[in-house]
Amino acid sequence: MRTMSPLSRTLGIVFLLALPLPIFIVFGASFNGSAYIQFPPESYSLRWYIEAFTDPRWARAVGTSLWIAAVTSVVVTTISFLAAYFTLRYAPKINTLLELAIFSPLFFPHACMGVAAVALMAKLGIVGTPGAIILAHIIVTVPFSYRPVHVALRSVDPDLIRAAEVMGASELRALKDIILPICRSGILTSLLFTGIISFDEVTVTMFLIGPEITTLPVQIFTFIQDDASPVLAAISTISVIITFLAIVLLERVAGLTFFVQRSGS
Amino acid sequence: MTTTLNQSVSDVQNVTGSIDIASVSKSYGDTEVLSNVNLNIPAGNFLTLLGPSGCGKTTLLRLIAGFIEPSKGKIAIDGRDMNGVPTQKRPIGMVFQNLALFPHFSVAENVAYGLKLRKTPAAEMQQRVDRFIDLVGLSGMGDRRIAQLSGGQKQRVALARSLVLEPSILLLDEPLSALDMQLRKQLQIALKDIQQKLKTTFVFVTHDQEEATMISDTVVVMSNGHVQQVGAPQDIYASPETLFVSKFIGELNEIPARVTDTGPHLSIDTAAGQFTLPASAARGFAPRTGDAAVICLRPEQLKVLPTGANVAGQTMLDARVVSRLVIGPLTRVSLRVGETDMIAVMMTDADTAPLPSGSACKVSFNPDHARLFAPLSDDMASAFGEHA
Repeated sequence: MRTMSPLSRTLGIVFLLALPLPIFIVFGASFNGSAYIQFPPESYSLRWYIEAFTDPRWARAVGTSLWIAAVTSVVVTTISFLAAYFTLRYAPKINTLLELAIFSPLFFPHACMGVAAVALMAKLGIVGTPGAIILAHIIVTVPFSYRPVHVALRSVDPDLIRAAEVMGASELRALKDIILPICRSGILTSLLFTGIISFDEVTVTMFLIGPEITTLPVQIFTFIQDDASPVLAAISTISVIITFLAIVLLERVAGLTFFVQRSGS
Repeated sequence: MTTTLNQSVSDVQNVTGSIDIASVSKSYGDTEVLSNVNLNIPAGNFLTLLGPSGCGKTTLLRLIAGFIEPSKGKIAIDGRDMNGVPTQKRPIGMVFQNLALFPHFSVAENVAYGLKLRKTPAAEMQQRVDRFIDLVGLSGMGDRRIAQLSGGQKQRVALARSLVLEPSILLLDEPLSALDMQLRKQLQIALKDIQQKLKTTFVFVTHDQEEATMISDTVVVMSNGHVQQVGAPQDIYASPETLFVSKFIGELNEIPARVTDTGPHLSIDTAAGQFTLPASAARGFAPRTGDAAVICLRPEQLKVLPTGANVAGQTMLDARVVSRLVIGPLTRVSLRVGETDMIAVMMTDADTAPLPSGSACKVSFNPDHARLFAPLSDDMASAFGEHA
């Protein structure tokens, strides 16, 4: 292994520490006893956590965000799996075109997508409903789902499914018995990663909330415009912990290598 | 009366697994990969589809399996038309080239999978799985993971997994090609053994002529999407009908020639000299004066004699010994005859007067053994890496 020069080592450490710094500040501020977001905290107290857990608005937003994330990840993973399976087995030639379409949400500014989404949802008459938010989240997360699922499926020998068919399995049965278990880690990666993205999504979601429904990150954003209460720091810390746990889980069950491998070619 | 009836019923059951391929063609766009294949495979036969890569043998196997449908013609199994019948409904098993074992299943789970799909009762399933694991020589290894097995063992699992469902036809797509020589030989013998025990029809694809001749009852030689010849291995070796088949099966001496007179005997002019052959030597074409042709002789049909020798009724050519190689009981002599290199093979102890390398000699052969073919067309020659 090559040794680093002291200068680049120091720069590297500073850089790595700087990345999560805002999180440490929010974390510290959440234990502040005073009525303002402050760092370092002047006194220590759990009052903001008590408020976060007792105020029904926060509980509802956390609940909404969690179930929207769950539905989004399951639906988008199913779509990606079927799309990847279909192209690999029946239409390998359209893969390049399909990937272009699937990755296109990465190329557009999220604010533009928000505007487009609100126009579309208004046409469909579903602005302010969970359906609109889930639909938008599917579009935003599909690139992050298609890649790991496609990488996993591509590495499966296509003769496995034929072998199962020769033994009498229907295509669906062969998918369930053979292909799904082999692609397990790719599918779990897709589920968890799209769940995390959906849980944290603000920009596009902001355009689609209504009086009946809001998600946790949007609720935080809306709240801070009226009131910079330290309860926000407590909520943010909770949300960071949820995301962090999901990433630890992801690393444990599937590893993060699916994002390093290229899905093309 | 009842006995006769029962007898005939059981006879009928014994002969399942026949395949009739009638005028089958398969095209992809403008490319025809199989053209007008006709083949009747009797039940219980060990048949090999043999040919160079790209000859259409794997395509034919996939048509029988139902992964693809013929563009023209029809395939029937036991008299039943298979067009439109999905793979799942065909009485076949298959061993894939890369085996396609289920990596997340154990050996026993792989073998049991087809039985599970058929909802076989647990006790019967256990018993059949054990029986077939034993049959392929893997007794006691049912709990192993696939990744723990050697190449040869994986091969045996693939075989057990297909045979446990007792298909009347087993398709094998070059299943031994990834193994080393020794293991390959062992498994060829095991395959032949199992096939004879079960009387299942085996359709085996290979590009290895030695493998094909060793294990098959019937060999189908294919090239460029056409069936060249069908027959028992020894018949194909002894009487090949085309130059392609002669070259593909066994070793061959070829003498480029020109026909100078056609009858009653064929007069032939070659760089090694002029001689006559019986009219029956010409195969697959009617030679006319002036035609280019190739004379084919097996190495064991040549005799190497001292320069003074002359044997009545034999064709004698002047030659020179290039080198000799004694391989146990056999001796291979490399010869230069005119401008043509030839090989003669004889029993070492029959070689009474071994001639040293470099010495002049006579090569003799029985003119009735020689075969005369039209030269290969360009596309056929490319299968051997030559240009006609």
